[in-house]
Amino acid sequence: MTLLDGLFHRLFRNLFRGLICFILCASVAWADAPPNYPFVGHDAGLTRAKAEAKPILLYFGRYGCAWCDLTNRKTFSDAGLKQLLSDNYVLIYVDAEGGKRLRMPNGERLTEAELGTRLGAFATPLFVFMTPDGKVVAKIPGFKTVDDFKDYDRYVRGGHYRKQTLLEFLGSKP
Amino acid sequence: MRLVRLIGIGIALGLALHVQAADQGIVLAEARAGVFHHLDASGRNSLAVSGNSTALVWEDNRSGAPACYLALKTDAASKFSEFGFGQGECFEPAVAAFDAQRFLLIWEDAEGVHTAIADPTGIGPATRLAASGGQGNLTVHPQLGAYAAWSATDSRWRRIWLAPLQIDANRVSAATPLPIDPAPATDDQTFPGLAAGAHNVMLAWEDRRHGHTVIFGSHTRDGKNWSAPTRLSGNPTGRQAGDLGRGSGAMRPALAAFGTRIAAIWLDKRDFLSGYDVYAALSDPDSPRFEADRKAQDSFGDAIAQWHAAAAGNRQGELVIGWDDDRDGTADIWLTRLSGADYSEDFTLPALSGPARQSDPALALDEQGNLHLAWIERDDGDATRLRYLRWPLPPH
Repeated sequence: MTLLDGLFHRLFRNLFRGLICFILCASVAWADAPPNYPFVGHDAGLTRAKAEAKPILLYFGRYGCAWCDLTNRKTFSDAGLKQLLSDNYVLIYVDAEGGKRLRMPNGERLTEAELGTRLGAFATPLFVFMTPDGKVVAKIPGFKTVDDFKDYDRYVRGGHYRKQTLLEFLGSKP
Repeated sequence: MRLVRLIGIGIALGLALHVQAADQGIVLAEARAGVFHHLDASGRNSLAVSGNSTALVWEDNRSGAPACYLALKTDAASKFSEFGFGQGECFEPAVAAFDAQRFLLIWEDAEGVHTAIADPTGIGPATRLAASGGQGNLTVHPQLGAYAAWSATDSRWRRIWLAPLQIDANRVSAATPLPIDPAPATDDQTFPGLAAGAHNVMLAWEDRRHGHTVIFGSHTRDGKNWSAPTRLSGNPTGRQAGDLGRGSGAMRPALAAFGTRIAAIWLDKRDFLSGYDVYAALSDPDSPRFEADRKAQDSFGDAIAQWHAAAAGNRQGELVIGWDDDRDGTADIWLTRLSGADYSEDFTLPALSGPARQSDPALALDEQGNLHLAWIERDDGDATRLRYLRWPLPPH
């Protein structure tokens, strides 16, 4: 390979990497799962949660959703929250208008959008906390702060959902 | 509230609870633990009527895996005859009337996207339309012919593919499929709906190329040339304050021809705090141009989410739109009729409402003004029921 060939090779490789980065970044900016979090699909997440006995945080987000975008930027950008959620939960992202097929714990086949009817979703983002076997313990719509998520974490991992609703728990906070 | 609404509607329509409204219809499939039925054809075209025959297609897992079924019935018969179809796991079948007693089918299975023609004796040989893909839909125009549309991945993105169909005896053949939008794909296009109008064939689909989901459409008046895609849904595109998002959502378009017009309906989230609403855009009486869209449901449903919007029309100019929502506590099926320039108040029927969850309506209207409905009913357990009802539309 000549020096010129090598320069062209490197230039092409860098351009290609830049193009891939641009495509991925553009997709992320339109409100998908927050970047750099270990979000997985619904079925893989349920399987993993059961195997690892970890609770689930399911992020039900809509493509182009402004409040999802805000949550990603203001809340999920927090390094501490990322560590907390990544270490202690199986993170699942579901596209609220998507047509991908999911399988529910009872064996029923659904699509991503159809999951919205089951969850009673009326707004996005919708955050759904579940036990490792997929039982819903809290459904929280709309933009939430880092501190909100820390409260939810105490509610879920502290097992308070067995005795209190989320509202009762939050109302009893000192 | 339901009783009040029913009585109100009854008075408004001069019905006093029409005698047929008490008809509970036919249960096609009883509830069985662990068996779930799906009426989720693209464009919600799971039900079709032709002459005095009715065809319903669905998916269920009674065999232990998702499989597709067709049920056929004449008006005089009290029961449907049932046929299975598809190779391996089968999903999202759709149906369209072909002629007096024949129906075209499309479905996704382990081998790809397939079509076939069915008559009262059964289903003809399957013709493969694509090696992969799904969300198929069909329509038949008496002069412009039959068409199939589906979505399938083309490198990174899903695109809408369209193929004219030829029917020779009991075999279907397809011309080479082409993408409805020749522009290079830059995001997903999914869930096509098709309808045959008086003068054209219309195709609508979900399109994400604006960074959020909007409804696009295209039509042909000669069976050869399709118009440039145009936007049907008015859900606004644009970032919100703070440079956030890309716009509200619109999803699951369905089309219905009525009179000389076509209705495009979909679920629309421009009121983003209360879930999806049912929106409709109607074509001009004598041109394929669509008027501005508007909400088809009444204001009693504004505060809650609507799901599974379907539409049916006939050549006499009747248009009925249906969906499910839980304004009365559990999911019920609600309907509205176009009456002149306005949509009626939302109404339901006894069989379509009640303590169980009634959802996923599929609609068809025959030329005598009978509304055919199929839907899924679910009690608290892990099982569903598949039901059907024929209801003569009362006079306006």
